[in-house]
Amino acid sequence: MWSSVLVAALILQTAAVELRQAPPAAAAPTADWLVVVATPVYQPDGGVTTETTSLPMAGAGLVHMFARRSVCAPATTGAAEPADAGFGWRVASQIISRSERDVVVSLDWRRLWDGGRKVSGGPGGTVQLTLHPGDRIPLDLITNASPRADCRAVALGLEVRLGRAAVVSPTPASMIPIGATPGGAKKLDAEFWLIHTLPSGAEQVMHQAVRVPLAGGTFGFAPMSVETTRGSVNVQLTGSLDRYRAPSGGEFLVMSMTRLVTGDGLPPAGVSSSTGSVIPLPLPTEVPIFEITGPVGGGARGGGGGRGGAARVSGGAVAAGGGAVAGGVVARAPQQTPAAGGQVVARGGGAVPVAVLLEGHQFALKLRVTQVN
Amino acid sequence: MESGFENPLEVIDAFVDGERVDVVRFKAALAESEGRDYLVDAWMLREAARSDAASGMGFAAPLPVARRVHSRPWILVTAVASAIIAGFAVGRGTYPIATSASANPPVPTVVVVATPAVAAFPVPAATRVIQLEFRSDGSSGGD
Repeated sequence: MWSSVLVAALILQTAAVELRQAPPAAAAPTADWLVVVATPVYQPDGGVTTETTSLPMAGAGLVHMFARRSVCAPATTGAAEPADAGFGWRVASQIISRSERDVVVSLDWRRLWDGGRKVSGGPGGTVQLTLHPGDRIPLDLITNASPRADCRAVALGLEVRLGRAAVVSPTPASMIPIGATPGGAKKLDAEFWLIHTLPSGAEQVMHQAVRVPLAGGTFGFAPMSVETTRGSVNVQLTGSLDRYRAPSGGEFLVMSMTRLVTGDGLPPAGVSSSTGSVIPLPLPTEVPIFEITGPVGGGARGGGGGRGGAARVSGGAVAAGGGAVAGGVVARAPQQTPAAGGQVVARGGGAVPVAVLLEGHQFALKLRVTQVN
Repeated sequence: MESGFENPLEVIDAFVDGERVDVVRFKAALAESEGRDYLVDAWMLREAARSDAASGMGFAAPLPVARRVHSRPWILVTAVASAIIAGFAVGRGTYPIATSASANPPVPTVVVVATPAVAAFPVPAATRVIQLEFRSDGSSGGD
């Protein structure tokens, strides 16, 4: 009997070792997919403002998605319950597995606040979802029972989405001012607003806040859907902030962005393009906006230096190697026409510029940073 | 069990998990505001996991919970445990490619959410405009 137990233990041990050495699964975040929890606020004009937060790449996570006095101002916290929530949910998560094609996640969500106060026994559930790129799974919806002049929203939703994590690549030397040293002085909280302006003028906004260590950090939004007469495409923006100090002591940020367009008629891997800019570290009261021209906002014009594009700016120093540096007040560029160049994508029988493909949908990114004490 | 942490916050995980920790490293981790926030988040996460487990709602892979061993004939328990331990030790010693990396503790999984003091909505007005052009990463054309 004892020998059989010993053999069984040996088999168990061997199996355990083999499991540890199996191809990376749940514990090793090889795939670059992010599970994003989102709270979209639906406006009567078709506009949507969405707070988002990313779940951990592996293991368990706990976040609270909520709004305070009205449904119009969604926010998020980590595991600690917000003290001033009036609407919202607790979302606990467990990444089960991930692959190149999907992520399996177990979610336990519950509505903890509604109508301006905490509720017990609110809607909730435990679900196991297999999420694919571009998926958008609604979990709950809180209708705005008392719209007011300052908040005419129809409802506040809770959704799960799958987006691509930012791929960090070294900042090209051409974008780094001469004599700069890597690293910032203090950790930062960086907020990003990705603004998608529809041809109708309605805006769809996604917000995200990330902690930026001294070396820099990354951000990534879930795909935004763009409905066109040619079909539906998803536009996804990811990026990174690299931090440097100038010889004079001032800090600046190297902001890199990658945009991936996927969808009907496009190559399976989508169409990827990138751009970058160097800006002085903004004050907390400053909110620079990066207007994305070219394939999204209209046809791009020639020129530009550095990796994958350039900032059309004025003021500031010139980076080594000719990269563009944004250092001052920047005048708006004139409206551009979709036909003036642009990224060209083969669709069906002919090549179509991405700008034309997106049919006037405009994208921009706002940034606000605050130092963490 | 807390030796060899790569992330200084892992000592907090170990503490919350009830493991013995290096007091100096633990104090150092709590000296940072991020460490204190992490302690609260980690504690809340485990509380949530325990409450879910107690209510019958839980994940497919719940956090480990200490189990009470019911009374059994002591000699049988001792013998089985000895055999398993011996087998495990033999297997560990003879299997050639067990690596130290595989024994590393899991990475912290608490979400560290940046919580700016200023509300995110309404969207603040821009104070300056920077225009960017995208350039193709591949062969599908340029802007």
